Amino acid sequence: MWVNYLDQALLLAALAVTVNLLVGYAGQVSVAHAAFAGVGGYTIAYLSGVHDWPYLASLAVAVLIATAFGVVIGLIALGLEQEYLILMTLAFSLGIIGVFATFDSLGGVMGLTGVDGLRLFGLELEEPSDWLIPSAVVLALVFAICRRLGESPYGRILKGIREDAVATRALGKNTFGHKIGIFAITSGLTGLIGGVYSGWLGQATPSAFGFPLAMAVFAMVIVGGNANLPGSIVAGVGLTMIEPVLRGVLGFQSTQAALLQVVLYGALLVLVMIVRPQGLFPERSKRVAAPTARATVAPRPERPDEHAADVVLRAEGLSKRFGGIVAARDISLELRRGTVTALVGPNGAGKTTVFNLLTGTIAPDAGSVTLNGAELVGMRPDLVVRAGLVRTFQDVRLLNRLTCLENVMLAVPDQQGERLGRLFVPGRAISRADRGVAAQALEWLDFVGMADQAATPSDALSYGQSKLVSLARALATRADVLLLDEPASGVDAAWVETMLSMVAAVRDEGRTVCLVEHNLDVVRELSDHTYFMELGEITASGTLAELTGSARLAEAYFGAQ
Amino acid sequence: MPTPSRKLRPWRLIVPAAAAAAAATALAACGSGDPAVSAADARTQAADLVKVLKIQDGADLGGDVTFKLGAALTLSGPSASNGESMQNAMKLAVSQIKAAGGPTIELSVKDIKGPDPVAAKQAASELASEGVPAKITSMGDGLGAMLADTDKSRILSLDGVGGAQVFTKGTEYFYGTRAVAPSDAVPGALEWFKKANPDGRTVGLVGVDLGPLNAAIQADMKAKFEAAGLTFNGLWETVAPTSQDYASMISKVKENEPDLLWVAFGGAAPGAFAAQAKSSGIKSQLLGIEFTDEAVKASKGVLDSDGFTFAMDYFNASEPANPLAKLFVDAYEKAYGSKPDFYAANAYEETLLIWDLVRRVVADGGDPGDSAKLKAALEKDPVFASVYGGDAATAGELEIDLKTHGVSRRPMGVFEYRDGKVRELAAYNVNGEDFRMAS
Amino acid sequence: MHDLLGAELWQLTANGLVRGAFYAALGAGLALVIGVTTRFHFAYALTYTVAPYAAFWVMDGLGAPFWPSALAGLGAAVALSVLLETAVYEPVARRAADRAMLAVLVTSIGVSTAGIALLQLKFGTSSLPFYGPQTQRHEIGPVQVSGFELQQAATCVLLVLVLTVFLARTPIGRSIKAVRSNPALAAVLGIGVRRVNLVCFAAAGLISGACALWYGLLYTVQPTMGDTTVIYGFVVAFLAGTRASPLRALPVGVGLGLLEQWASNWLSLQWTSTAVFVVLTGYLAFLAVRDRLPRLRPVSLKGA
Repeated sequence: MWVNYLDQALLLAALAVTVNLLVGYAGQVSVAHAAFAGVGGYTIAYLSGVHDWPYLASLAVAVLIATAFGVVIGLIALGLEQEYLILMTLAFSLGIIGVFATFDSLGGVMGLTGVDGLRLFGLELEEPSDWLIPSAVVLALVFAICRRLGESPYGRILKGIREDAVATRALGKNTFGHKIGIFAITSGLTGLIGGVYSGWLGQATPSAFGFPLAMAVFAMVIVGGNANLPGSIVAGVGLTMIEPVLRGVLGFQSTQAALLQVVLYGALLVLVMIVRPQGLFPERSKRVAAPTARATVAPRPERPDEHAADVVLRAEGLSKRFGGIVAARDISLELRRGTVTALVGPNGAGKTTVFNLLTGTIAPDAGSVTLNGAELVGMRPDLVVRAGLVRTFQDVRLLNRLTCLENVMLAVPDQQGERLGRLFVPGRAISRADRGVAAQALEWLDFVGMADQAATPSDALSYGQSKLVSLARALATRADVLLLDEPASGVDAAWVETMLSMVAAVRDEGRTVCLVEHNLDVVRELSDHTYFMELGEITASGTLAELTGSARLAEAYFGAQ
Repeated sequence: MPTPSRKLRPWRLIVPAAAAAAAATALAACGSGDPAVSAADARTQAADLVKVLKIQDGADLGGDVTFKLGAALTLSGPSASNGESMQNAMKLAVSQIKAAGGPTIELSVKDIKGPDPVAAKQAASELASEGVPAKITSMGDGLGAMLADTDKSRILSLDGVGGAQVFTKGTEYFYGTRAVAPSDAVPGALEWFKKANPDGRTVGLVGVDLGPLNAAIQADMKAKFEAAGLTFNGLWETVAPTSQDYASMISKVKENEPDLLWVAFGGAAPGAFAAQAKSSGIKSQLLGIEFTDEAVKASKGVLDSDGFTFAMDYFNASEPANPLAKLFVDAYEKAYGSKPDFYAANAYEETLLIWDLVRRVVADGGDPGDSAKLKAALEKDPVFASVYGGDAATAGELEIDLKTHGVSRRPMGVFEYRDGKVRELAAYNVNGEDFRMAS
Repeated sequence: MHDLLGAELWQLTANGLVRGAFYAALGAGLALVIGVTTRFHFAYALTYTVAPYAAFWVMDGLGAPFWPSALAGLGAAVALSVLLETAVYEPVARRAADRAMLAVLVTSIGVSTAGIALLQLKFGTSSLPFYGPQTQRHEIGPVQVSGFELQQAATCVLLVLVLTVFLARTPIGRSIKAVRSNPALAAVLGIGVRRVNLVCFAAAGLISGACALWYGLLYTVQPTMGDTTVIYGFVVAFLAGTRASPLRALPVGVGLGLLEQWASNWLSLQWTSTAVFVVLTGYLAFLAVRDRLPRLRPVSLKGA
């Protein structure tokens, strides 16, 4: 009796591990995993059970089909908010299981039963004890893959997507690709598990892969702890083994005993959630080594004359309408190397919209943006960052549950461990590279004076500190041009000074800065050139002194200060 | 970071949760169904049993044998009450057999929940690892989920709930000990219908979706309708057994109302359907394939007020057909306080059947723990005592058809339930043989 | 034949409207809870099931007449709903802090399964003989509906309308809307979020109880009756929008009801619910893709 339950426990634990990668790491709350397992299960029951294919071959097909479904669901998921994602995966799983149940060749409502005599690598899979090895191997494999993915630069991007997909993309990461990728990988693995599960069960039936299975696995993930894979294994095995334990304790079989088991299972779930609502095992974050040498920024000996410096970024005739509202009209501006340009204007003038247009977050209706001569319009936002144009956000958008160090590490470009192909090459190259990334990130944190906070979760920072970390994050992308959205607003005076010196240091390093700022002292201190915006248009430009000298502008905006 | 303003002490919450669990334990304990058969009762019943079964004096009753009998029953889920009454009947039979000097039968009961495929699989593997040579099983061995294991582990399995349904064909160790519903009952029922409703012409069916089996069942039923000179009117609507909302089904029936409408549902569903059919004014003669108290409960009084006709191998506990049935009904009522249903009756006679096989194997000097020996004994003479049929003096006979693994003969009939009583309208056997209208 | 088909279609349409109103009310109640309290209230199935069970208990055990018993059932659903929030969800959510949503989801699954099993321990696993007063049949042209169906539909529509008016016109209703659109701001403004949550759970309990009692009168009262119902409730709640006006649940619910019933005109009966979910998946896929068809566009533009 125990062996059979153990088989089931191992397989459900494996299922919980994959779901945790999707839900816990990538934050994609999907309930379709039972259906994906069903896809795998039906595939092997049909191919091996009905058509006598070799088990291994049909498992491979199961993985392929489930992966294909995962890609489709991932593509759909891209455009959906979380609530709709849950709804869509719910509808999808009920739909797909329903569709299985309509095909007579798949056994209709009865499903395919009597899948028998499976063999794997010459191993006869008859008794429950025969299934122990395949189940354990699948769990080990799934765990190894998920752990490798989760605890790597790839997993860091997943967590970034979970916390804030827009901010992650603004650091140059291809969030779309990663989202689809993670759906594909987890559903492929789920298909594999489903294939083994069906083999062990000897059948694939609609009720075996129904909603209760999805919920049971979900409970395992949450009880075990989000983004903690060993936790999922413990909870998966634990919650499955409750049944035999209770049966042993109650010692008799009757309707009452069966119901009592259900009551106790439910009560246990509630109890665990009350005592440990974060799950049994919390998410772990990156350990940090002590800060090493301070990053040295070599300032250029002399600042180039503003007009003599070459234009790095040029925007011409950018326009954008939302319905009847003109958000930007014929915006043209130039950013010159090694200078600071400021964008000022009243609230709602469209300053942030300009940043969105420049970085490709919003596609302009007309106009062009060139960076060092290369056209940016039409490029994906993450590629714009990789081309050398990064922005920060007015509302900072640090990734809350990641540490400061992880926030900055995420921004480091071209990490080998972000690519799937590299992740599964044996050897220590990835972890060595990741130590390098950590060192770099630490340097940038050190540069903004936040190295001692490296291990602090970013949601524990003060507002001013978080602005500094977001600057470090932008710097870590190594982009040439930085668009800083209100770096000094909402920050108290002491931090303003720090921020000023930081921006100046960045400029002195030779990077180009454009900032949106309300604090005119900051603008006066830093900017070499200032554009004035109102109602979606640039209506004046020059030095701040020139602009404040204009009576009309003084009335329109500066007067209010 | 929003930290909780005051730490909540988990203990304050654990107490109610623990209280709920304790309440559940108490509830479960007071309802647990151990047989209330006293030793004295069992002894008198056992003496009668030996008499009724006509076991010869001096025969080896298998008293030295300890026999492990498995059971795969639906103890939870929608069909929980079937499993419960089967378990009761088995316990009753086991204590009577023991008191009669027969083997000590150790029951190993597994819950197949509903049937749920995972639980059925679990039950199959547990019974296999316990090495039970035989089991009382149900629902076409968990709607087919256990069949492969049944043969693989060679467990002689008797199913008195689903019988030898189409999908059980070809299995070796699986036998159905009741008529196949509705197929076996159809010819006699149609005979009754023609006599009771001489103007009736058309027949249709509503029922539970059985997937790929639908086509085979439909072909079989259609042939039987035509053989009876009636016309299948094309109405064949099936639904998944989860919902008891038949509104769209009923609107289909209304569009194509047959004179005779088979209601091929089990459990509570026929009651729910009859109630909804009445409230939407369907005038067809409804003919069920199963009747239980569940259906009466679900019918909101319609079955009591309007009656419900059904054709099956019904066990009429208020009028036991033979001394064995009477013995069983009396003993069951004494032990559990209610009359047994046909699930209980079938499980009871199956347990006696197993005892019979044990006696035969022991008499041949074989090991009754060897399922192949049990199967051989069954095949040698597939006739056993039954609570169905027979007469006031002799127990009925249950004959297994070795080809179909179902029953070759089974007394059944058309019955009507009304106001708490079941009345026989016609009696017949498999394929409508020995048909007679009730007087 | 053409006539017959027409009549069937009318009947299905009537069925669809009745069911649609039922789905709409359930969805509106669940949407209120999810939208305002952010609790993933799976135990909606439990408050739904408890109403007819409690009513039955009062009727059968205490010998009360039907309508007072129904009222008691309604009261039980409301009480349970409020109790779940105060004794279970709120403490769990507070302790889980920013992980509240998933923790509450799992907790409510646990409560729901345990609660249903407790009901079965007390009342048995089979369906309850839940009788009400007799009902009449009404023939409206080719369509036939029972009095209960009309009353059920009327109750459901009324519940949605009352909920809408309640949210729009009463002070507590306006507080609820404030919490729904911005809980942090509402708390700053001195709105008692806890009280608002309790009112939402009471309203959801009331709606689920009323729907379940009508369902019980029309169909069967059994322990698993909440399973599919809660799924339809979620579907309507999300499709209509958990932060939108309850009125939006009406067209969504009716659409779902009609889709389900009409599907049976062209499809074999056992496939109709599958058809509903396939269409729903397709619709959501369309929604997802439509936004991106012209060009890859961001999901949200908070900075703009």
